[in-house]
Amino acid sequence: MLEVRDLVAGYGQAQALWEVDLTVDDGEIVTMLGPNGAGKSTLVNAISGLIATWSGTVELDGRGLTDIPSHRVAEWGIAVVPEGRRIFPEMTVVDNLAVGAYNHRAREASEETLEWVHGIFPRLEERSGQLAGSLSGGEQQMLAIGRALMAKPSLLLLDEPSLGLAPIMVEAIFEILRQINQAGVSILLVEQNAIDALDLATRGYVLEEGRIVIEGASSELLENEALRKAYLGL
Amino acid sequence: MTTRNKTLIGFAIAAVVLGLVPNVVDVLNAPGFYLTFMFTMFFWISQASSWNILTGYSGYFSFGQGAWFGIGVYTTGILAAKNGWPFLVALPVAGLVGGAAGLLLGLVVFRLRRLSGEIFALTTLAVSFVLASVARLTSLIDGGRGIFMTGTPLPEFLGDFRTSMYRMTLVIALLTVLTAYLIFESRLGWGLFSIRDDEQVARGLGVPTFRYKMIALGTNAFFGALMGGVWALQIGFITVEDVFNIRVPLLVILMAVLGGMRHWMGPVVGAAIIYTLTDRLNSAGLADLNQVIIGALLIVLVLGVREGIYLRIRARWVASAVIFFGAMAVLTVFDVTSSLIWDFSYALLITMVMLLIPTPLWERLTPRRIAEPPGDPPPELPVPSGKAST
Repeated sequence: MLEVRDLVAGYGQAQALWEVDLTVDDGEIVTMLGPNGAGKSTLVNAISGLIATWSGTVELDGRGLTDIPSHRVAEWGIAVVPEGRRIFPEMTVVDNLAVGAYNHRAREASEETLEWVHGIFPRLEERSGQLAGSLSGGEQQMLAIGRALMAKPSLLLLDEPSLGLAPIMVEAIFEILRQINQAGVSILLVEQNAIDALDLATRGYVLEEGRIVIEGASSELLENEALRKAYLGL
Repeated sequence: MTTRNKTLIGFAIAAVVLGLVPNVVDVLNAPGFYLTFMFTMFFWISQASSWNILTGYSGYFSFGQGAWFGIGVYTTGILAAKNGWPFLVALPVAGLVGGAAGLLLGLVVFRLRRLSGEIFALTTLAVSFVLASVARLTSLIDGGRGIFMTGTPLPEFLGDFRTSMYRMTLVIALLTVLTAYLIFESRLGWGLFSIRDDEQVARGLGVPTFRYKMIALGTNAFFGALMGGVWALQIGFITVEDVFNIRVPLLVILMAVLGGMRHWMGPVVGAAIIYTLTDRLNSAGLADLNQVIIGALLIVLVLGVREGIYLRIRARWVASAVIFFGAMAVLTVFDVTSSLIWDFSYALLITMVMLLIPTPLWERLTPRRIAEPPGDPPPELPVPSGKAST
């Protein structure tokens, strides 16, 4: 469903990605691993249209995403859970979720979607009227994911959801991602936390200095010597 | 009945009651300065509310209120006083010219992403300086000679000058606050709030940020100029120095910050308080101390009531109402002060002191209000709450 070809992007004069190729098939969970500064967030921003691509194409279900304004990307079926959560702190939890359903496609179904999201994260329903900034870190991550789900995405793009969370919370969040995937949402998970990410994903890529250096099934990656040394400390 | 209907009915009642005030003043033969006091308050309420639609809602801090106000003043000045247009025809044109100027500015500043934050604030300030120079140098506008508004005829059905001013400012103030409320409650409203909190994420979720910011700025400029258009009459003799100065933008910011920028009622409350106090200080002959006192008050209130006066009133509305109306009644019945306006401002001050109390005594005595969901870590998730380290 998602096809990224020869993607080149960066900020200002600084190139951050070199000819990145990447696919996510329907119903798949794919992970993109890489150290800090490898270009992971640039990739997320380029796919979601927040920065302009220099060359190459990004297609979702055969439709080009490269040249549409960023506020339309949500409507096309990609929802982003940004790095560091970035919930709207001065808005209530339920209003945060409502903004998630802003695009035309999601708006009509927003009540059912809200029920679904509350089913996945009962905590968000309890905290409905509370300001999002007053939630704990884990709750904020749930809210960021819930907000993205409100957009009724076919592809969920997560940028380091485990960042800054306690291990037990990471486990809970990844378990929920599996559940969301079983409900038919494809997932591209950008992570540094290689063990948990590869445990969840069927395939993975490794990004280093803006280039894809390794790709393959999760089981293969877990056995890859270079990767084990670099990311798993084994 | 929904909250929305209740609020709209509240608006209708306020419109009728306030609309009848001139007649009541007539019947009671009360002094005419009551009307002047009130329509000046309407002026500030409208200015502060329109400013808040842009800055309070979208987070784009504007020093540009003086520019919109000035455009309105000069538009009616030129059309009605210089070219003899009927005033009520010139007035909406003033609003439209202001709105168009706002959109023009938005077209430039919102297209350039670099122009956000402090740079946006300074740009809006610069606009009012540029307009001042243009007005001063262009003889078609002002040319340094000023414009006399005093002879401008007003339609008879509006009544005498004071009553006309009262009715026009009341209508515009009601329209401004109603617009602020309708935006606050709409998709546009929470779209703007999401821009205020995190614009990039909002755009990623499908909020048309450019269009929304344009609407907010255009609405702000429209109402700022519309009210400015009426205010030209009150100024009487329009000069560049009187119109394009820093007074309007600064006071408007004070009012909205004090009242609370996060709610549509905030600027209304803030404008009523600040205007009443400045007016009373002036009439007590303390005009020189005015700014010192208002400044000190602002420091105390901003530190003590960070969320703005309005939200504090709402949290303690029973106590606020009892104290305010009780004080009004006592002051009026015992005839403590010389006029209703003094009673009003004393009652206002007493109420504000009550609002400053961090946790009211009566709540400490009756700890029934703690209504957090009992049993803190709810068991529905396989994790013990999010005791996450960040």
